[in-house]
Amino acid sequence: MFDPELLKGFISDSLEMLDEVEPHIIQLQREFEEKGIVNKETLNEIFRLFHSLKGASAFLGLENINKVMHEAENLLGALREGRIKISAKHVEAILLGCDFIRKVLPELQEKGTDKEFEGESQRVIGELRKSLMEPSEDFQEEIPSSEAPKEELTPERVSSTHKKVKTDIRVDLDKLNELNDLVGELVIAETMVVRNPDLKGYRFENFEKAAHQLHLIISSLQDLAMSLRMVPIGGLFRRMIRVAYDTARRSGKEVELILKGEETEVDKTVIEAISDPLVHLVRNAVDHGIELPMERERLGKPRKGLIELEARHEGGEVLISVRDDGRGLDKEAILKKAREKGLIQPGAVIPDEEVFQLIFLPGFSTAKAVTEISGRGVGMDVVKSRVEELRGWVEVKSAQGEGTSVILHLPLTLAIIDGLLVRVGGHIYVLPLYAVKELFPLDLKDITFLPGGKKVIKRHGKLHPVVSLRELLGIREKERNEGEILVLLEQKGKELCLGVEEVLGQRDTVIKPLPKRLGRITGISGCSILEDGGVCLILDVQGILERVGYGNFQHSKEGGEIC
Amino acid sequence: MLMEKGRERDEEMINEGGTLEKYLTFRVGEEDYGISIHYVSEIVGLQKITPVPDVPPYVKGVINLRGKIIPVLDMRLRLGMPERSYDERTCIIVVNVEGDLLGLIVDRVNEVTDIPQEQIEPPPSEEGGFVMGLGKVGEGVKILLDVHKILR
Repeated sequence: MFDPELLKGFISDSLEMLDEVEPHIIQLQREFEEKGIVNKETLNEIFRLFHSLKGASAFLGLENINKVMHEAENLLGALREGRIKISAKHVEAILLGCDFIRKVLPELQEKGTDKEFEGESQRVIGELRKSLMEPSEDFQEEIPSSEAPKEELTPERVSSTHKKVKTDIRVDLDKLNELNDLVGELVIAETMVVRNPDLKGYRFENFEKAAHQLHLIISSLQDLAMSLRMVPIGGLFRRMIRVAYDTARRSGKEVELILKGEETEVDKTVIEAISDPLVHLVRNAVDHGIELPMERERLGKPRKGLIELEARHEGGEVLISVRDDGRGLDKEAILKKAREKGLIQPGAVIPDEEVFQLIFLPGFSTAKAVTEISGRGVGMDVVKSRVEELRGWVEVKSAQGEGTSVILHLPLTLAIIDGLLVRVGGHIYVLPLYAVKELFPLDLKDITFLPGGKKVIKRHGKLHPVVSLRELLGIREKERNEGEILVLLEQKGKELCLGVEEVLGQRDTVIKPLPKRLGRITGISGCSILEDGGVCLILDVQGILERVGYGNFQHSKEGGEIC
Repeated sequence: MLMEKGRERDEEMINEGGTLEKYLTFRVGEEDYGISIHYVSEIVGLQKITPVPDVPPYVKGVINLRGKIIPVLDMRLRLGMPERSYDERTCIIVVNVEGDLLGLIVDRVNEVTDIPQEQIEPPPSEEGGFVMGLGKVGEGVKILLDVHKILR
C-alpha cells in the first residue's frame, strides 16, 4: 500500500481540481451556445486538470479513476483538436466523470482503494465513449466557422496555462485550530507572568520593558494566527455554478449565475458550515424563485433568470446574499399556510419581515409541489439553524414579481468575539458587543411590574421587557445588593433589557466551544478562558431572546402587547 | 489524538480478553467505588467551577484543564446522595471517555487496587444503570462504575 499522506494529498488535490474544472466546463458550453466559439484557453485548462489527475491516479494505482480520466481526456482531446464540435451532451458526459470522482473520493479516504467502483466506472466510460461517437447531433445547424476552434495548440499556449505559481502550502485545519488554542493560552500565560502576585509591590524597570516587548510580539502573533484561518469565499461560490447549472437543467429553467465579491475573506470554518445551506439557497432560487422561460417572456422579463451571489464585509459581519429576479415570495400563501398549521393566530397582523421568517420554521414549504430537486436535503429550517450555530442570522427581502434576496449575516471569525464582560452571582459572562446598544443603571421607579411577574421599562419612548440574567440562567448564588445595571440588547430589531450586577469592560474574547457532551444550550454560544485561568460563558443574544420568549411566534404576540 | 487514545484503551481491553484488573478507588459518602484505571487521565485538586444552565443538577459546570474546557460532575449528586460542601480532600478525577474528558468530583481518592475478574460479581439488579460490578477486596466491597454511562 502507498503512503497515506500521498493519498490524502491526492484527495484534496482532486477536490480542488473538480471545483476548478466544473465552472470551466459550464462556461465553455455556454460560450459555445451563445457565441458559437470554443475558448481554447478554457479547454486547455480543463484538459490540463484532467491530465494531471490522470497521472496522479496512475501513480497511486487507482485504476478505475485512471480509466475514467483517460476516457474523459480522449473526449477533451477530440474537442480540443476540433475533431468534434462541443454540445450539451459532451458537457454532461464530462460532468458525469466529475461526479464519479466525487463519489469515489470519500470511499478512497476510508479504504484507500477504488476497486469497488469497477462497475460504476464502466458505466461512466460508456457514457463518455457514447458522447464521443455520436458527436453534435443536436447541432445540425451551420456552426459559424470562427478561427478559434481551428487554432493549433502551440507549446507556448500550453506553458501559459502552467504559469500559475503557487506559493501557498496546505495545512491541516486541526493544526491551525491547535495553533490558535496555543496562542490563546500564551496570552493567558503572559498575564500570569506579568501580573504575577509575587511581583506585587515591586517595580522593575527592565522587566517592564521586556514585558512590553513580549506583549507586542504576542499581539502580532495572535493577529497572524487568526488571519491564517481566513480564506477567500470564491472557491465555495464557484461550486455553486455547477449547482445552478444542474438545477436549471432539471427544472427547465434558464439561469445565469453572477458572482460578486469572490475575494472576500471568511473564516474557513464558516465556509465549510455554510456550504450546504448555500447549495440549498441556490437550488431554491432556481427551482422556486426563477420562473419558466415562457412565463418570464409573458411577464416581460428576459428569458434567462438572474441569480446573484454576493459576499461582502459590513460592520464586523460578513454578508452573503443569494438574490434572484424571480417571482418573489407569496406573502398570502405563506400566511395561509401558517394559519393552517396554527403557527399564527387568525387575524393577527404581522409585518412583512416576520412573515418571511415563517419560511424558516421546520416543515414549512409553500411550494405547490415538492420537486425532486428542492424537496430533499437541507430545508430552510436547516439553513437558519446552521447560520445561527455560527452566531449569525438570516434576513429575507422579497417583492412579489420582482424577486427574493436571502442574506446570511455571519460573524467575521468564529474564533474571536468582541465582548462586554459582565458579572452576575460571582461569575463572569460575555455579551457580544455588537448587540449591546446602551448601558444604564436600574431605577426601580422606571420599571412597571405586570401581572404575572413580567417587567417592562420605558426608555426613549419605547417599552422594553426587562429580565435579570440571574433569573434567566437560574444562577443560584445570591445577588449582591449593589443595584443592577441594565444592558439594552438588540438583535434583528428586537430589544431587551438584561439586568446584570456589574459591568467589567470590553475585551476581545477567544471563543471555545462548550463540551459536546453537554449538548446545545439555548442562550450560550460558547465559553472563554479568563486571565486568571477561570472559565466564563459567552451569551448568545438570539438564544437569550428565545429564552425570554421572543423568536417564537406564539409568544411574540404576547411580546407585542408589552412593547 | 485523544480519540485514538480512547480507542487504544478499548483495544487493550479486548486484547486482555475483557479482563481489567486495575481500578482507581475513591470514596463518595459511605461507600468505596472503583473505575477502571484505563479511563483515568489524571487527578486534579478542586478548582473554580463555572456553572452552566440547562444541565442535570449533578453537572456542576465546566473547568479549564490546561486550555481544555471539560464538564465536571458531582458524584454525590450523581449517586443520589445529598450535596455536601467540598473540603481539602475533595478531588476531581479526570476520565477519558471515548476521547472526551470528564471530571468526577469525589470525596476523596483512595488508591489503585488490583481486582481479579473472578472477584467481581455482577450487580444484583439495575443499580441506576451505571454499576458494572461489585469487586470483593479483602473484607470490603468496591462498587465498580461504568464510565461510559456516567454522563449521557
